[in-house]
Amino acid sequence: MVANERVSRKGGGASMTLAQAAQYAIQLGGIYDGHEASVDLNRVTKASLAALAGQGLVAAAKDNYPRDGTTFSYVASFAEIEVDEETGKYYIVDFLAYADVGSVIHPRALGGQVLGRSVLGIGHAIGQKWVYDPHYGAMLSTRFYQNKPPTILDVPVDMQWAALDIPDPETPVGARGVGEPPVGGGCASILNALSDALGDEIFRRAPVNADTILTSLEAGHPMQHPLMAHI
Amino acid sequence: MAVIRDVMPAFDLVQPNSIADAQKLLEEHGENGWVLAGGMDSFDWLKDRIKKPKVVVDLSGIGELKGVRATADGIEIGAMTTLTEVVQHPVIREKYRLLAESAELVASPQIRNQATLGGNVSQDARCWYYRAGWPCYRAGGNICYADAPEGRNREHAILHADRCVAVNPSDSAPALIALDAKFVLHTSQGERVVDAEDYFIGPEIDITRLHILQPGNLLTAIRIPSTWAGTRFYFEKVRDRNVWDFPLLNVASAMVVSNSGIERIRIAVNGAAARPLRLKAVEDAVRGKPSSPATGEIAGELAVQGAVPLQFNAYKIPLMRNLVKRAIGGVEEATWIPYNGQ
Repeated sequence: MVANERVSRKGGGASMTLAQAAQYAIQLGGIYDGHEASVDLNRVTKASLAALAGQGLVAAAKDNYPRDGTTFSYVASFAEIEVDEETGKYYIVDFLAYADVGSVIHPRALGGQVLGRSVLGIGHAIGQKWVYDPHYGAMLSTRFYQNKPPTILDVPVDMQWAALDIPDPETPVGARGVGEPPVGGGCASILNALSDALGDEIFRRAPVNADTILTSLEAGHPMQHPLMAHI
Repeated sequence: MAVIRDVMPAFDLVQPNSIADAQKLLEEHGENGWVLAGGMDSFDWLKDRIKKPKVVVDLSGIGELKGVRATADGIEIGAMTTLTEVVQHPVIREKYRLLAESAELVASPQIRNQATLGGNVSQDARCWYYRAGWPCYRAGGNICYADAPEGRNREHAILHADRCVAVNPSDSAPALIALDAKFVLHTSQGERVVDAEDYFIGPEIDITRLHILQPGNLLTAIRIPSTWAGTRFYFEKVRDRNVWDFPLLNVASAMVVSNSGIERIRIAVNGAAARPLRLKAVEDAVRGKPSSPATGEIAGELAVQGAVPLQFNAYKIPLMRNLVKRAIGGVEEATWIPYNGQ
């Protein structure tokens, strides 16, 4: 048992401080201070263990749960936008991200992760950009008012999320990681909504701002090369 | 050698508590003096160590520069009045709403709490080459990087460019021009009052500044006559983000419309040139005509005559055309309303 910075036997009796435990582990050596490693550890873990060996109570282990292949998380994102054809400005009026991430362990944390990362993706779609001067090779959008990460006013007031909550048989607790999947969904859903509203050819790129929309609408065809989105 | 960008260069800070003292200090230090109002523009320059003034004259302790006062014919707003105060002032909201609307669309709430009206109209260009310290025309050099063959100029000028293609980024400036405001300056020769539109200058007059203030001059107040109080106003700002962004373009107009059509009108745009542009030709063309979409079309086309796009800012031509069209034609602006917590 570990409590109050002391290590003691279950049910009471002898106890020692954490420092004494570490000192004792070093005396014992072997598997107690990291000099001996379990054979199934990864190569990198073994190297880390060897570097720490002899410095205190050191333990390393690897789970041996059966696993068939690798696991991925998925997010389906939906966005509704309104485009002002006279100014090129558009507004995101509705957004939903549906996550397939195995068991839901902590709904609020998952919701924060799904929507937070969706906003990052929305930022990629609506204008967060990295502008270089190609002649001088110099970064131009060095400030947040130039690079423009999205603000709370750039996303719908009532963004929604949901999760399938289907346990994954291949992970120890049925859950899978989520973090990056909503980014791609957030970005693509906005761009797809733009394509739906204004035509496919113009918006196969990110970010899309008023300038891209207005010049393309004015000309009736794409006016900016997809690979020159960061201007 | 690493460029140190996080520490301001040393300067003497002087904090006068009267206009007369500030005027005297600015006169004394001339080219070496730097006027600090809200600091929203100044601190970028100072922290980037691009502008290195020897003496900073902080105006924040001068009570007579703050607040909104009634005059015999309208109101006078002290140059150090914050944008938040301008937005919230009951008389401005009731009679000169155009100004309140424009000020409310400036940057973010935090910035508006600190930024001043005098600072907003006197702020420097936001060209990203100039702001990053590139030695361009505006910085006293001999080249414009934005107008170079591969220059990135999405947010630059479509009208009246002359070597420099930077634009004036102020939102309140076109509203003040539409309201026929007068700017009160203190110079060594005494008080000088100029029309709002004459406060701003293009590169053909002075390529290193956006306004007429010379070293030693101080903008002390902005007077708004009652001429346009309570008339039909239109303000629209188009920006990339819904908050905390400079305008790609904005338009401000004040109109008196009767059954026989538009009787009186003033209209200005900003973000199109190095100075906010009053569109006199448009005003003359639409006077007497109905405030209709058809008149708006004519006005929009007229507004962009002579516009010359750079490689990446051609969108500003239809944008300016359409904003002027809406202002004149009475079309409602986008219905999207920012969530303001109420």
